[in-house]
Amino acid sequence: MSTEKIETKPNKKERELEEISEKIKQSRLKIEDIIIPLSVTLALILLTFLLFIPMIKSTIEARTEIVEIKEREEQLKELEAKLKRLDEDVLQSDLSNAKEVIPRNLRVSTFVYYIDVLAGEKRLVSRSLSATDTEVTIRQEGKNRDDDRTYLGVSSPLTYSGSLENILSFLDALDTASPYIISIHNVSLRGSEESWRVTMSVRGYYVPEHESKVDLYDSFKEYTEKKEVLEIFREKKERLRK
Amino acid sequence: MSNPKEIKTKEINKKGRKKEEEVSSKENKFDQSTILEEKSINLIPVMSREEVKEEKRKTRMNKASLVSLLILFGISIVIVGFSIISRIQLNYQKEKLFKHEEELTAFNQIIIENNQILERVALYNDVQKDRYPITKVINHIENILSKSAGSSLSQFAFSSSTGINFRGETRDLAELAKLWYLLANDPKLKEVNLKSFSKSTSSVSFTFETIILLDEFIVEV
Repeated sequence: MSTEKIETKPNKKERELEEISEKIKQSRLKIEDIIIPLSVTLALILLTFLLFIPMIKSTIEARTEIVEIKEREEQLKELEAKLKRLDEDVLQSDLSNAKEVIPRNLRVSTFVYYIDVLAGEKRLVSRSLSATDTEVTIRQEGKNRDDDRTYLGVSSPLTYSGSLENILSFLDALDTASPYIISIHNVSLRGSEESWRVTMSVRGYYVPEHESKVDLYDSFKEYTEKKEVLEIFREKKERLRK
Repeated sequence: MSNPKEIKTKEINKKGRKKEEEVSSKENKFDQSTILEEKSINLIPVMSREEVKEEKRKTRMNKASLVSLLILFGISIVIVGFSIISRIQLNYQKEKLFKHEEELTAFNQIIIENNQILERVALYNDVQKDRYPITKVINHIENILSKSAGSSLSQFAFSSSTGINFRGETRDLAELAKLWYLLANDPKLKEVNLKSFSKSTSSVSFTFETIILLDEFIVEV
């Protein structure tokens, strides 16, 4: 009997060990157990690249656009405030003055007539008088050629003779009392004590009417900031009426 | 009375039984739960330690999966929500801006007229820029000539925007030298150059070239 007992005991232990080792095998992590976390991770990665990143990008773009729109809105508010400050009646009056002094089209006959009348008032005798349309380009100080401004004008080379005193008075009147915006070029005087002759080129300017497109986002300056020039325009217009 | 051998074997048997009982009691620790309130027996096999560990691991894993899913869901909600809100805000701002633009089109004519005035103001400023009164320059040269006895002007011309040249006559070379000195030391002129001169029996004719200092004459305007 005792020998049987001795034989059965190791068998039992072996069985126990086998059972334990089987249990250990069973307790190992199987692929079925990690399938959910793995699929979640994969889904997260896929969602990140296919959905989240494009969405975040578009959201960032949208936010940037919102900021830009808000800036534009501010710009429009400023513009609106400036426009509301302008008195429409005063604007019409100032525009009328400006257009009289620098007309849409300076008729050569009108311009030459004005000069000749002025010369006559100064007792100068006309030697030669002509007028042609011209284009003048003015370069802005410290700026490129692209920023050059081009103006249209009527250029009138003319020669008058008379006393030096009258010629200087005529030049002064042209310079200061002209109802138009003019510039005098290539002045040369020649003469003796009795009679002098002045040769020069007088240029009158005009701004032709052109179709202007309104861009609300262009920098807007109120014309009323240039009060001094507007006053000169007003004075010149009054001179023209006389 | 039993002999001592029998007693020894009995003792050995007792010890062996005790050991067996101890082992069985250890095993029965897991089996204690099988007896329910001493009335019924739990037939469900009791889990071993390994099985318990395994179950715990699985539970942990499932919890982690659940948390991952929740995080995924949360992130999705946040991103999609933020994106939708941003789009809505953008559309609202766009509409607002469009309305404002529409309102401001009523002011278009004022803007055009304002620009027309500004265009003319710019032209005026460009034409007036660096402009000086011609008569002031001529009078200034005449004044200098008058300081030299017998000097007179016979010709005067502007050669460029600031360059001038003039021709005249004076009594003699000494007066010409004096005139040259006066012109060269005049604060409103620079680079005075006696271009030519010729002496006749009664007079000396001369031609000067010089550059006027624009600022000096502009200040006087």
